[in-house]
Amino acid sequence: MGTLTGQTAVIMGASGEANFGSVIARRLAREGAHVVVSARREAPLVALAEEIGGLAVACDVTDEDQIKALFDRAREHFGRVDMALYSAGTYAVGALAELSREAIQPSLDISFIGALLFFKHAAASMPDGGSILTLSSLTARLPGPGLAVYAGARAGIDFAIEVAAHEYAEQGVRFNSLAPGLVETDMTDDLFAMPEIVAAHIQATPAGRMGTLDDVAEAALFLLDSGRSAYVNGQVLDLAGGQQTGRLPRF
Amino acid sequence: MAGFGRRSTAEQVSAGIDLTGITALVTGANTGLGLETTRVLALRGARVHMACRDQLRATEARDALLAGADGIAPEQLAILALDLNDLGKVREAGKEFLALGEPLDLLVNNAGIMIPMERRTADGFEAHLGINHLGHYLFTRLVLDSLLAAERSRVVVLSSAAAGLATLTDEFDDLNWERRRFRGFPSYGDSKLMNHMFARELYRRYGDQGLVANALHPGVIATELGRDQSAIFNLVGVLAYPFMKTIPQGAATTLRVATDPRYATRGGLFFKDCREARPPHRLALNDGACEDLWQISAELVGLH
Repeated sequence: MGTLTGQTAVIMGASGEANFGSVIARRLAREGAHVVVSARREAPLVALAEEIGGLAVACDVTDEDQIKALFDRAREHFGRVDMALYSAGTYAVGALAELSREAIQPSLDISFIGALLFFKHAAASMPDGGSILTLSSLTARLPGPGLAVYAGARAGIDFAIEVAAHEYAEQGVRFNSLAPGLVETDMTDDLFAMPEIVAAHIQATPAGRMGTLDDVAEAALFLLDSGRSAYVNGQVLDLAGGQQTGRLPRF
Repeated sequence: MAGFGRRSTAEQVSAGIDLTGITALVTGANTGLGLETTRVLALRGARVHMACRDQLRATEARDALLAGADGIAPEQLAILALDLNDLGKVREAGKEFLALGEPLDLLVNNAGIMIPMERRTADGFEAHLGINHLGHYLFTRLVLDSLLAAERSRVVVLSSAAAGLATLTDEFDDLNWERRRFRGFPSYGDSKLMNHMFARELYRRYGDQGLVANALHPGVIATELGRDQSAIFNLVGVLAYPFMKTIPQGAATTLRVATDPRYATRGGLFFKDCREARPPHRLALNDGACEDLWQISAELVGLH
């Protein structure tokens, strides 16, 4: 018997071989949860769903009907929804001076509007309470040039979960956010283009290392499982080895 | 005094500085930061030897600089064949340069590699160690007479903040990655730490003869980052963005350290963002370790 046996989780943004959504899905499945994995396209989800005995459902978060349908499918298939993770995102960087409405809109659609509508339908599928978690970012905790859109949308959601925690208090749905910093992956070739950046992040990180996907999975498990974190609500958890604290300049 | 920083460009930091009559040599001059460094040195009047492995690409780069709008004259740009992957060829390049009998006012050790996988040089050295450190170590020592023949000379060594990832200790155990499982980040960091240690020891040995050596972190240059669609890479790309510079910004610290009058006599320092900075690894501040590395490197390349 796992600690999550009998519970169901819906994971949005699980299409990578080893991205946040997929490692969290595996971690929850290992605890015995039924897991619905979702992303815009279904094909990349199928192998993961098979591996963890879950269900793959395609869902475009820019279409509210599809979000609603995702949770309907989850309830039809597993009878209930207890946990939901929002880990969809898109790459968007650029200085304010270079921004246009067209450049801003896709990030806003996915990272802000999509997240709120995901919360709406996730909570609606949890009449007896549950736990909703969203992925924020270190960039929404410390300012970095070029990230007004990417980080601004996440910072907005980090406040929205506080609002949501109050709105859904009576229903017993908790809302939390996880804000990882630089996370090490198996894709060393990609990361390798940037050892200086890795070094700079590590130098600014009291823990003295990059985060790992395990760190992410454990933190997400804690926040999603009401058996572990029932008294944590409306909280952004920094997962950045202390880098989120910033510090006074060295001299 | 101008306040130069991370957004300053190579042209900005060298504005108003006349390098006419100065001879410089830039390794890896045909591309990226080396090309921009070459261009701006020549723009300020210097004669620049472009030391490159691939002669075709070197010629193309030279042609492009001459065809550009900077008014660089053909006699300002020479090409020197230098293959840092092969110490025998490094010796040939050193000989060829010495034979010119030209005092060398400025040496910019710019070339470098950064690869995730284990690779060995022609002499069997791990590639970061062999190319980034040993090749430059040998070449610099070979052209030392040319540097000392100049009234004052500067050696500018491109190190990196990635030296902070180094695994090196003062015992210099397994420098060549023979007994450990290879890891790309630490290996690259080790070579960049050795670059910094080399610059400090070079200055300690020859500073009183008018040679000034400094090391620097050029910054991380925006290239193909962020075009990958994988979610993890996107996150890394986002975290990387605030750190990234353009090529003209990336070459600025090199140009500052190479040309600013205020750094003509101060050596053994570490720079980033066009300013003196805290060295990324404290082993480089250990004089005994820097001296040991000098000796070990001499043995590895067959000098004494």
